[in-house]
Amino acid sequence: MKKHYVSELMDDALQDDEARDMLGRLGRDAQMLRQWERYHLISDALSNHLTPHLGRELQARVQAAIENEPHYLGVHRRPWMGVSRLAAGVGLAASLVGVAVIGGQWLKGDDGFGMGTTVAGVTAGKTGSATVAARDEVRPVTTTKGMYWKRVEPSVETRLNGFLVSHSTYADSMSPMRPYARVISYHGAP
Amino acid sequence: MKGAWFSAVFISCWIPLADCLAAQKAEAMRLLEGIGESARELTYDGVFIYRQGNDIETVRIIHRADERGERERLISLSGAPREVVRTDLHVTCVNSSRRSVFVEALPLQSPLSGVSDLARQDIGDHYRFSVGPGERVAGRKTTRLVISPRDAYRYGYALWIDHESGLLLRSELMGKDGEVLEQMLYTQIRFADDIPDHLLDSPLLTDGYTVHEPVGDGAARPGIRREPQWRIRWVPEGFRSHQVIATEQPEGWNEHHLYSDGIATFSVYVEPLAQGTEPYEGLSTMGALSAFGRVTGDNQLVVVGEVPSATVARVGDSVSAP
Repeated sequence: MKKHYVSELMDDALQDDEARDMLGRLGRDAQMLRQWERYHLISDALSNHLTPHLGRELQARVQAAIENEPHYLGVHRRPWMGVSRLAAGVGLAASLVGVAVIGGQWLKGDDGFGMGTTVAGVTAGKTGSATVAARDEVRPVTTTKGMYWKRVEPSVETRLNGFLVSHSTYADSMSPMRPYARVISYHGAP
Repeated sequence: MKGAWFSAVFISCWIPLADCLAAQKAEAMRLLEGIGESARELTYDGVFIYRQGNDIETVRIIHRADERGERERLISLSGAPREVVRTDLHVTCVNSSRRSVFVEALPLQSPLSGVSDLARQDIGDHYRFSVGPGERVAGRKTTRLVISPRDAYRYGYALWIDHESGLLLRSELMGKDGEVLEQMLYTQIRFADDIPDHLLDSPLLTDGYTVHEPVGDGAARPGIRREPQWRIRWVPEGFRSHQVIATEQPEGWNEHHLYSDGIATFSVYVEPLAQGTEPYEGLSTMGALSAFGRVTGDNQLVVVGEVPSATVARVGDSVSAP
């Protein structure tokens, strides 16, 4: 049930108040947080967003796991199905033991400055199962999403971002929220 | 006799209630000051989740404060690589999906630093405060501060503040009817004595990226200054001007007016509209951020801030030319 809700959260399938509660629980429930990290890692692997030293092998393994899982065969042709729904499948999750370990390194940045307990607590598993050769291209199964200015023409978007950055340099010392969280979360209009 | 009895009951209830409200406000002020101080003065490394509408980002934050100054790096952990690096002098924002770099000069002295300034003296006229125990966040005990606006020109906040360090560990920004517009939640936090330099430098390669020059003023930017010419004739009650800068740039005079009510902020920018540049007109939003643009004469006016759309629109409409 818990796992199901994490996947719903990632797929934007929860109502606003449900999503709000779920985020609160992520801060308290280490198991749920690990699930969350795992789904993100899988999503990024499929979307070609991992750093090069992690990316190629992991992308191949994630894609291979999806294609080897009969229940999810061909799901990459169904763009409306969120990646975390796929990952929520027991078969896929089991095929990707070790992903969490890599995910821990990914979140830590592999910099020798340990990030603390949550990530380090991820259970290590068998890292094998890379029986399928890496592919040159891995098609993403998720559509682009992200934060961007609503109701703005692309031609003025960049200028508006300039004002956003400028304003954030001043608001940073006052606002209870972190203005730079908005800046870094900016993806641009899809 | 009955009236006197009611008066006695009223007074006996009102005085403790007023004391309680005053105590809540004083505690809220102390917590708000602590949030700013701890964010600036502590050295820490953590991961937080940021949610805006249906979009969720995971961000690592590395912050160091010591005798060398303050330095901060934010790294997006999902999606296309994006980073923000902030030093005492500059903030650099790299977005690999847009292949763009924004560099902005920071003011040498933030006009909003020191939250116990004048803006917060009458803050109780515009917000209500409620302080109580909060849930654990990232395994740490918190105090919960709820800030509710008294009018529709500003947002409300729920803040979970680390009991020990004073750092903000979780926050919710709420619009009309309590709708949550933005959420931030630390999932991990580690305080440290020091952080090595290499962790604070961005490894992202930006060759071939478009570098965007600063907009507005940038207090550290060169340029001849003058008294501001543009007048902002209306701002919501409680908002005060914290900075007005007019600088001469190659394309003409730019003005930046910064307002805050002690919690929320907005900026008014006026700059020449360069020939061939698409004007920006109307309202736009991104989560809790609102922007309003209009063209007046040969100038582009933009109001942007962490306030409702109605606020930026009304402020923008009130701006008059020299």
